[in-house]
Amino acid sequence: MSRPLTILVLLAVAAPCVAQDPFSSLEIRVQATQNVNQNILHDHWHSGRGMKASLITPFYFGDWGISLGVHRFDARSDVPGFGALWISSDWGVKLPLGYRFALTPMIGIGNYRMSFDTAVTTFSGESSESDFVSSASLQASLRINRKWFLFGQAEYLRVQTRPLMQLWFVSAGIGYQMETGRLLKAILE
Amino acid sequence: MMLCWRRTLFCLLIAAGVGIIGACAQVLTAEDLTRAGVLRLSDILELADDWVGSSTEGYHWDIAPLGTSWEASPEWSLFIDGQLISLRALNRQSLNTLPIALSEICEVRLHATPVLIDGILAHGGAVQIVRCKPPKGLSLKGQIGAGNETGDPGPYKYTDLGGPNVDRTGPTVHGVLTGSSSSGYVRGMIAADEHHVTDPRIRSRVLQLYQGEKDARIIYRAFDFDAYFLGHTVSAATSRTEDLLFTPIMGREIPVDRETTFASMSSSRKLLGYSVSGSSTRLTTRENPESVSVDFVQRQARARLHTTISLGIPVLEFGVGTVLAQALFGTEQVRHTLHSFRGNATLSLGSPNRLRMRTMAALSLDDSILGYEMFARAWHERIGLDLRLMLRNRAPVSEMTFADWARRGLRPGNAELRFMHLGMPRQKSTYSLDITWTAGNRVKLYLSGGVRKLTDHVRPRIHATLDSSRTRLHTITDIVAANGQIARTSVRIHMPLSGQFTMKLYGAYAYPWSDADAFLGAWYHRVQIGGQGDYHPNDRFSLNMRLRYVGATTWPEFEDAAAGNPDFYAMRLPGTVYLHLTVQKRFWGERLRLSATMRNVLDRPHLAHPAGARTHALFQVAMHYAIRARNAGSS
Repeated sequence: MSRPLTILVLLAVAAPCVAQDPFSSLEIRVQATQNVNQNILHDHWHSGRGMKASLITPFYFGDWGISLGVHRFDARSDVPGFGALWISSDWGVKLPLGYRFALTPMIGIGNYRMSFDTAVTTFSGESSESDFVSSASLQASLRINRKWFLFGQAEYLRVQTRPLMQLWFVSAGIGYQMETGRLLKAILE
Repeated sequence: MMLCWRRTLFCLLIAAGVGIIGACAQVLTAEDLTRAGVLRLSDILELADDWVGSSTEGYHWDIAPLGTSWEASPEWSLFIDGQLISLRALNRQSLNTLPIALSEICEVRLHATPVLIDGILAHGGAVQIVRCKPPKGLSLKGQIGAGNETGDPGPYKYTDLGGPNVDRTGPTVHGVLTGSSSSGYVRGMIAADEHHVTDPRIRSRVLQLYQGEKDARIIYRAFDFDAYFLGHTVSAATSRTEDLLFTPIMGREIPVDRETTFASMSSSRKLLGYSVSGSSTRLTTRENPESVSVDFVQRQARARLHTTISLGIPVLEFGVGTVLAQALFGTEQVRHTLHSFRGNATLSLGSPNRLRMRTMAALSLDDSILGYEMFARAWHERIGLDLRLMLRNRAPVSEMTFADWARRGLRPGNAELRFMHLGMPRQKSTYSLDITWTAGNRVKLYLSGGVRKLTDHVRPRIHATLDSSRTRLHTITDIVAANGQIARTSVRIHMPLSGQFTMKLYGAYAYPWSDADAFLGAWYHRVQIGGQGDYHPNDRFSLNMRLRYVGATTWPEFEDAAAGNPDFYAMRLPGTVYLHLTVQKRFWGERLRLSATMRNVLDRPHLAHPAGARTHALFQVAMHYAIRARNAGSS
């Protein structure tokens, strides 16, 4: 829990350097994700591909956004497979590297919901479970034109189960930037 | 001669001030509560500088002002819009059973020392809740929130690596509908909450009596109504909690339905004001395998008349009041009644920026036992000194505590009680002196201290051992009269470092001394220090951080249980550091406000009670909404 705090402090220190007009634009991102690491979770499940969609907008400091991700874990042993739906609120700082390139370190917090193929939980009979998730990521983006850009992302997910679920994802996707409409800006402000 | 007396008095005040705190109320506004991610009423404990608390399951908190009110036998008073409301049942007083929604609250005042509120003396401190006057027109506001404690097994529950599921809070929802005009208003509220009681430390004890289709949980439902017209305020509220009532006296969680109801009507006209109120707490035992019963009903009716006479600078106020209290308990639900009458006179002198004084004297008759109360306060706003003196001598029955009903035969859950003195005291006394010094304009320093002497305070003292299953407690409770003294001191520094960043540092310490173990053993917490930072670059967004250290506590009554089963019980709880973070953002004008709170960010599991659950990091989100009809005027 102390590592996300450290990242938060570092980003907060860097953020005022890149203050901007909040909610002036909106980025829509879609990306394909793949879990790449191996740990005790992967002794019982192997990961399938996933998808993630995000909406990002300039904030008072840095950028803020929400993202929705899905991915699947199929059973390796005598356990049910599960699909994960992951929603998080993210914040980061875009660091331009020349005209077309930018690096964006981000952190996020949210909810990680697992829906199991078979309900065998005791007492409640519930077939799903939700847990707190925090994330840290680094995104590199390449602008194609004024509106479209390509990006790749490396992301670390820490789901606060006991034992911890620690997942590394790599992903690639495409994004579209547009002006925030008056109504949407009024809502966001 | 006069100068000598003044010097003596000044030295006495400084000497006393080294060991006192909090004569001034700590005020928490609705904005403070929202910025700190307060989801339930009991969460205000996180913001209270000199209040401490304990909880077995994390829902009901036994709170008390440090060094003023017994933690095990709460003596603090609850006021809602100036009306005294009693929630106390079986020595517990939980704010989360109150049928009040956070969205209704304008301000919470926490008095950590004796205080006079509308002629009523709150000798053990007070929580004073003030509801907002609704904005003109029609409006709907409320909150939806939920939380998740870390440490669930997740997918590992299907493997041999995962443990049991742990607590989850919420969903917590409420809505408040109001209609208001220039002549008055009407308001209605509905609320629901849920709390899961699944921690492995208490789970096996809870499941001994709990029966349900789902895992053990506490379910709360409430609604309230209040209106103001023609100078009269009417209020009625009720809550129903499917509860898991734990008291050390019964040694385990008893499934009960708890109904808390109150109604009041009042007018604060100076010539002749009145208030009439009634409150009721009903515990109905739910079906359980051992047919344990704790059925208990406590009702109180209060009436009070008061008049204020202004003679230029001196202002006189007279009040008379009566309380009729009833309790029903036992297999035959025998009715036990007591009456109390009280008359008081208050004299106020002085004007702003000069020395001001207020003195109250009251005579009371509690079940035909004569008592008195005297309260004097002198303060000077420019110098920043505030001195309070209280003398109180009343019959124990005036407070309707567990010990009072136990003397009349109350035995909840067939509890084993022993009366250590055949002739229990007819009166109990409390004497206290408190002083506060406030200095500074931009950076404010509050230094406060106090000393209290308590005589013949009747309270339960438990001896807890383990039953044969080594999970629940087998308890023998002595009802004893205890004497002793307690001193307290506190400091608070409020620093607005910039227009956007505010910081507060605080610390409080209490030191009891007495020959009686029953006295010493009832003050668990001794020290609490902390800090709070609030960063709000504008009125749309804020970051709030609370850091607190709560000193180690010792609970001698759990010594044997802790030795028998250290996995479930403890005698000494180590000092704990809490760090809570909240981020909140407004959206769509004033209509929406989202907040995310991480409680116990450091994720160090801690205990808030020797027989309680272990609490891990807790993530909570909340959405506040406020919708007003178009063209509605402002309040």
